[in-house]
Amino acid sequence: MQEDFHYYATYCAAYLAGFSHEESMDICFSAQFVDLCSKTFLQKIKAPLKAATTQLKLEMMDARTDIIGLQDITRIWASFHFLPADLYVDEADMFSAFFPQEKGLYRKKKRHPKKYMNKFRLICGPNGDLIVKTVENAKGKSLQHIGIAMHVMADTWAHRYFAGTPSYVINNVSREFYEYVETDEGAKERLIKFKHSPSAPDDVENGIYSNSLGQGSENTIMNLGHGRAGHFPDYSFARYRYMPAWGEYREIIKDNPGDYVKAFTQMVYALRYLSGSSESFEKDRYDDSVMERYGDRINGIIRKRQLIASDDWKAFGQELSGKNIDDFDLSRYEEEYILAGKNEKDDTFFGRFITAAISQKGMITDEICRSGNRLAGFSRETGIPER
Amino acid sequence: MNTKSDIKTRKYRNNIEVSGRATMILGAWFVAKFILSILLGAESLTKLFGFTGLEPVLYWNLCIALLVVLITLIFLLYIYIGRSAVKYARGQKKNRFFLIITAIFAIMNIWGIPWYFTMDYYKELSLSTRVASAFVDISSVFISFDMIFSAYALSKLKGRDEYEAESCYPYRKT
Repeated sequence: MQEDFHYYATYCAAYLAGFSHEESMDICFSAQFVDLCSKTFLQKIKAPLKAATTQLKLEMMDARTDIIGLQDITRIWASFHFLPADLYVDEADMFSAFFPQEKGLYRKKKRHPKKYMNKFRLICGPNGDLIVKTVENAKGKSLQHIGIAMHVMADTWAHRYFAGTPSYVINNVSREFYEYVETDEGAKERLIKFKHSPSAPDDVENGIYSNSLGQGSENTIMNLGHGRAGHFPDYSFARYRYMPAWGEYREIIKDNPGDYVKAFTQMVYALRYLSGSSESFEKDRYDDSVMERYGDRINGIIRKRQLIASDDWKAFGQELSGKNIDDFDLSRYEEEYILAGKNEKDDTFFGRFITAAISQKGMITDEICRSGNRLAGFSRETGIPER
Repeated sequence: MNTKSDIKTRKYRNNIEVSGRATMILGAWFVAKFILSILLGAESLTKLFGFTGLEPVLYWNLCIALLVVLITLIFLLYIYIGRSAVKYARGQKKNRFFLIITAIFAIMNIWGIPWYFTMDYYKELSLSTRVASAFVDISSVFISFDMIFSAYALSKLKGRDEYEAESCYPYRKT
């Protein structure tokens, strides 16, 4: 997902869940900051590098792809952007996690090597056990921790079917990538043209989108996450059909508008739990009352064919709260952190974010390791208590 | 959308397309191998044609020209097979004549593989070179038969018309 959802939509969800304007601002800033808290930024403010929640393109170009480098990459991306749906997928019934209609239908003989299954089990998806643990881990913690949890939750919907580890055999997509476009004669399929041109904006009207460079090497950074599909899965209006490399010739129809509505309502439900309004958080539950009141408005924003919907979400949020939502400014809390004394840094905004990020990364890395999967390495820090 | 039949259809279409692309690469390799072997001295046109040096220049030029035409024809046949396979896999072509040429190429390759080890012409090459060449030809045979089998299996899965309707044309109404 992108700034329109992580920042402005998260603000709306937080406000609807009962948080105040100021609390919602802290939550949405933290949610968006997950996409910007790189090692480069942390070095700049002299913060611990292990708190990195993302990697910039330049950092990824320099990243090692040996086992240590791959573990570092996987730790970051699987913990914050591609939360695994099911770490214990049974190989005999491996596709039922993503194709429920196949459950029990095609019992497969175990023929995939463990190395492959480890990557398969990192495929992202919503309503897994890890999202419950992520939300539980944020309960009673700082607003920054809540923001991180909301970012992770939102991304499980947009980034589903891709894995947060570089892998050609998991994350590659075929040439047959079709978008559903509404025309005067009804919905039609249009073949998407992908080309590697990072500087050119995506052409929504003509279906030309940028993607990562095609490389056949298994562990190249170009095969991380949804890079082979470019930025397309992050567009809320996108409805598309494609064949993922891991699917063994199965096709997926992805309905982003429907998924984004679920992401939003699930965020409101989770935020109600985190604010104390509700007693428990369970997977596959949503706050449908939001759609009853604001369904038309939210659907209108999500389904509009535009590269970024920040203005629409911002207007909606400002109408909800009656307050002005400041645009995201990365430098807002920099000075506070830099000028704080050594013992005071943890109490600053970025300090609390850093503590939360380390906690989230440690928890997910530990879960992946406990499942027998060494792709994310192991973590010494799990569930760090916050001051 | 993801029935066993759908999955197999996509798999065989993909096989045909990949085999088609591989055939085009093999065609390019065939030309490159011949040119390189002449340039690097491994082959000699004089030896190839059995020239004694007493033939007129016109005869020499005619033989070279014929050789170029023959190599070009074979290369174009490879390209025709490859492109036809790709188009057939994408549902853009119905005619399966290219499979007949593929079968002929495969049979000729099978027939020619033992020559690497029995024919005097090849005995001058090192054993490793002959084994490597044989492996390339075996791969070519495998690609050809994979293409033929996949096309056959595809036609068996469903009627050709039904396959056509479900192939990936752009702007198809959903």
